[in-house]
Amino acid sequence: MHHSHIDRFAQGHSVIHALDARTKLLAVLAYAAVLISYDRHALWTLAPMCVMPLGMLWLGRVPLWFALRRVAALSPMILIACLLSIFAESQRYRLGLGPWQFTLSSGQIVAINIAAKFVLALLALTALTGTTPFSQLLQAMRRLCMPRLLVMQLGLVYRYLFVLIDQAMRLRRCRDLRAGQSAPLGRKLAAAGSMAGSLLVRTIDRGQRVDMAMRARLFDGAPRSLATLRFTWADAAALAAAAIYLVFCRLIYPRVF
Amino acid sequence: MSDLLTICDLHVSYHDGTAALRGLSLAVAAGEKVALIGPNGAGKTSLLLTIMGALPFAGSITVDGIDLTRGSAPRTRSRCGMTFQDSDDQLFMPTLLDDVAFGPLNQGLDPTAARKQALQAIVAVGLAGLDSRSGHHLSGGQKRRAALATVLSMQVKLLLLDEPGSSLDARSLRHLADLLAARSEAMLLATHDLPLVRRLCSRAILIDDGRTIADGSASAILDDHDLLMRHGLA
Repeated sequence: MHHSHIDRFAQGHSVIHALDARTKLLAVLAYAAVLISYDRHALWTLAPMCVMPLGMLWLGRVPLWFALRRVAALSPMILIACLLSIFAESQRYRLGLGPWQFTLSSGQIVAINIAAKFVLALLALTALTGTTPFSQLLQAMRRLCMPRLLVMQLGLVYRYLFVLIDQAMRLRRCRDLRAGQSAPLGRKLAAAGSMAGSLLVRTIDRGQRVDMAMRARLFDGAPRSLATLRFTWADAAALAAAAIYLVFCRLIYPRVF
Repeated sequence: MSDLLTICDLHVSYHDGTAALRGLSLAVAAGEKVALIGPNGAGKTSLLLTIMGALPFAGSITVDGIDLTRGSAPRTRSRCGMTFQDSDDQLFMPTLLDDVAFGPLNQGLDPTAARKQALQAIVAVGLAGLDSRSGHHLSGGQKRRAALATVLSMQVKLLLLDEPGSSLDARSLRHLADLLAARSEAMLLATHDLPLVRRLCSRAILIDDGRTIADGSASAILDDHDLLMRHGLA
């Protein structure tokens, strides 16, 4: 099976692709930090925060539908938080958007704020992973002093996630071919439990074999890697632009508008 | 030719007490291509893993003049490289280049030298231009060759190949056989694929139930139909 879900557009060529992975990672981390720092009732002041992720997607030629599909795929995780917020606070506020006036409860504003932050953060993350090969992201993390073993484990997760998905899909196909789809619910659940157990055992087996393969190539616990990243003037300019943009969003825009 | 690998009276048992190898002895000379054939469960993979120092054993194993012990395992591993039955086990880094450079970097080479050695190995196995690909973006045949590149880059003297032809189509198998035939390293090739043995190896060792049954010229053993029948290979 062929997988390319995570970094499908990462091998492209664009001004964003050409930037050093550290530049993009730092910019997106700073963006996320600024996004989190907004008050939970902030709505219109979040508007300029759309510019960076959408700009990165556009300049990086990552289709918006691709990013929105990922947002949609992960939205159930945040949906519960939004729903709970709606009922948490009942105080009502009158808001205006140009000629329109409407009333929202405090809980509704918080829910919209959570949803907006979630969408913006995921768009920024998609822009990062869509314009940076995962191997370069790992290198960037390493060079930015993230714990080396943690980075190595991330690499292994990325590498074997697809193998695990393949195995799960094969198990499911085998179950379905043996009339699993028409089985009663109880038997289906029992089969799902067995499949999960089987996957766990296979994963442990795989882990042991990978460990053996690493030791066979003289791995002694110290991760070593080839360095291929290059920080240029363009990266410095991009980082400066990102910093100015984030200062504008967080400090200047809310006061002026 | 001097012996690169010498094994004397090797006994290997698993934790549950199952004996995998029972008093096996063999020798492989430098540059010699030897096939290790036998039915499922004969002990072929266990033998290769033991040579790599991955399983505890009784008896003696000498690789390039170094006695294999727990302490000397890193030195013997830098002289022999193993490709596993499932290439996915061996391609664990984010890109092919990282994977192939993994061994040289662990041998102590600086990144520039490791990169050069890795790129040479990638070219040698016919995967030039794919160095930035991830393991899950390679076909089955490419994965086999990539796994081979991961050990060739370490410039080993002995290749231990576990079922190198399994799950390959005829064309990929032909490419792999051509590639292996052109290598000068000694090889111990554990396989069921008798045509591959006939094509690549001058010598074959038939093992069954952890013991050596026959050791001689590959053509003589492969032509002995009764022998192969008795041990589940025909």
